[in-house]
Amino acid sequence: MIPVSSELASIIRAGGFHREYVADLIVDGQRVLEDVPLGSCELKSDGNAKVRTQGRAVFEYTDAWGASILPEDVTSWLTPYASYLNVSMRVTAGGVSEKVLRGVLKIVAVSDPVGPRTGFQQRLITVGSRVSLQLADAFSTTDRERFIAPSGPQDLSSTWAEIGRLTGLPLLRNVPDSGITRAVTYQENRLDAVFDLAAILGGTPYVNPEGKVTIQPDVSGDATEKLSMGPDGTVTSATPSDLTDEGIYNQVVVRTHDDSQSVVLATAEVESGPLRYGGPFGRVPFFASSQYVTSVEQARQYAVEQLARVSAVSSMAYSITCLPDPRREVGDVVPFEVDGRTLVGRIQEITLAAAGLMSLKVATGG
Amino acid sequence: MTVTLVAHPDGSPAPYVDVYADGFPAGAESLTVWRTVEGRQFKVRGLVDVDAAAGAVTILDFEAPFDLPASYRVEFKDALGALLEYSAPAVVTLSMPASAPAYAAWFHNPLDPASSVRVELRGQNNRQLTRPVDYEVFRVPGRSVGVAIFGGSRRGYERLVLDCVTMTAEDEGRFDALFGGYDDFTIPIVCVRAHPVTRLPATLFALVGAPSKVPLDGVDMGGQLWWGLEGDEVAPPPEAFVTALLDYAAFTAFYSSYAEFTASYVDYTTASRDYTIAGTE
Repeated sequence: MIPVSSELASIIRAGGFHREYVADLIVDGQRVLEDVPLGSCELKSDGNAKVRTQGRAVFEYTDAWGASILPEDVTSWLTPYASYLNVSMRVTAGGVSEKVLRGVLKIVAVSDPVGPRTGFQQRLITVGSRVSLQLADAFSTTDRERFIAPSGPQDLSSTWAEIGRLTGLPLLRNVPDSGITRAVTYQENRLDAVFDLAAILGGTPYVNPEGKVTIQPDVSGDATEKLSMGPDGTVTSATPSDLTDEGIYNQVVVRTHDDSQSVVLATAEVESGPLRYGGPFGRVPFFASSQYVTSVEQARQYAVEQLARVSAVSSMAYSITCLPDPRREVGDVVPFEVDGRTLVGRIQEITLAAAGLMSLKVATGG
Repeated sequence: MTVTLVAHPDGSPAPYVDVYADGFPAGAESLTVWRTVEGRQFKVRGLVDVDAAAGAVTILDFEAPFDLPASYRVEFKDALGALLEYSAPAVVTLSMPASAPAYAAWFHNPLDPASSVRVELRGQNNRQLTRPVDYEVFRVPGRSVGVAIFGGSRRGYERLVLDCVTMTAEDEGRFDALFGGYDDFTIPIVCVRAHPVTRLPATLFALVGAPSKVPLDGVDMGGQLWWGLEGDEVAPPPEAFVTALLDYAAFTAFYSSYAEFTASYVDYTTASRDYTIAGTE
């Protein structure tokens, strides 16, 4: 959950407020526009995506000098090169108005330019201009970066420092640091290397709403504010998501090498319940490997960790629609009500648009 | 620092307020003049981010509203573009000309005050002035009443009926030109000023997408024509732009020599306010 003032929290619970997306435009480190309302903005955070937060918006601009915001060259403000939008949802009710920062997002695509112009003394001036933007968090840049030669960690003492070195982004060190267990050769894609490093710290890396690299621990944290129905509730519907057997496994096979390049093998199976190995679900293996796993003991432990992820967590998910709540984040552990029962799950996906309800996908543990 | 305001209800081609400001504070590099009417602020067209070096600025404000106190103040900025200070406000009330009925209204293209046309607002006894709010109401199971969530601010007037009558054939042609001719780039945003009894916004910028002439078939109305207009309130076109009523050509046409010109005025600011010679070229 993104922390906000207690006044704002009570407004969000009660409903009956104004909400709109506003953004500051940062071009190559310089803030050039402040608090610009964004039209048709929708942000989606997906915990299973490498680039977690992505979105779209319509940017409208008008000024006293008839200037246009439409991109003309690489130094224009709205270009998919060096321009970022700090996107906030502003919530207003009565005298309380607060902005909740939802993402420091890079402009990755600019489309549909519209710039109506009017004649004025033998020339044309722009009367308001508008473009559509695609946005994505800073990992979209890291995902395009490559190691130009086989590379490995420069310093094995700190995984966090190595993540910082690879991404060049600010860090929020929210989990304890540890050393890198083994000098390896990174995958060519820098973002893949960052994901491998974060696995050592026991989590998935993502860029948080403030634009800092953070790790979402595999282990669930404390429960956040409940999503309830009824007289004080905000949930309009909570239904099980579509179920498929796609992406569900009941065995993890770890295949890796030790320092002398001998094969290390370990497996872990679901032993009971409907997903039990060899039961009605069959024998469905998930092959895992990690360059940082070098001993049989580590491989066993790694297999057990991975088994929880590939068999249980995604086995049951609920789609929840509720009143917009800009405090929620992917990875939050949230109790929620379904038909009078209270379940606890972890938010996997959030879609928060400028209009309509907020939709969440919440995975419940087994 | 003084702001001098003189209302000209019988001004030509439309009533206006003569705005003159001088005595700028030290360090002022640029200035913008703001007009506040009933709590709404507008930049005064033509006096947006203008250079303060001349020591005085002047404009005829054709967007001043009728019969409402309008407060003008000047915002000064320093060389870095940071706010230096605001001047003390000066207030003026521009009354409707005595000869005009209360249902008279002036329409003009904001970028060109010379296009002003006086019309009579008629045929709209069922006019409704609507300013909607963007909202959604959601139903939460277990809550008997829905929960409303609002998006953004209340909007300006929408589908505003501005039906009117032009009185002469000449006015009809000029009025039609406000909305654009063939093969030009005019955007049909008009500035409308009417008496407060109409309850229209004091200074209304309306986008009229489909103006229609409504002739009475076979009846000679003596040059009068009824117009069916429906507009949405929009932001004014860029405020920095305005077509000057008085330009260099007017001076070269009026004076036979530069010496004659310089002898006629104490300084350039005075010259730039001598609208008596406008249109003589």
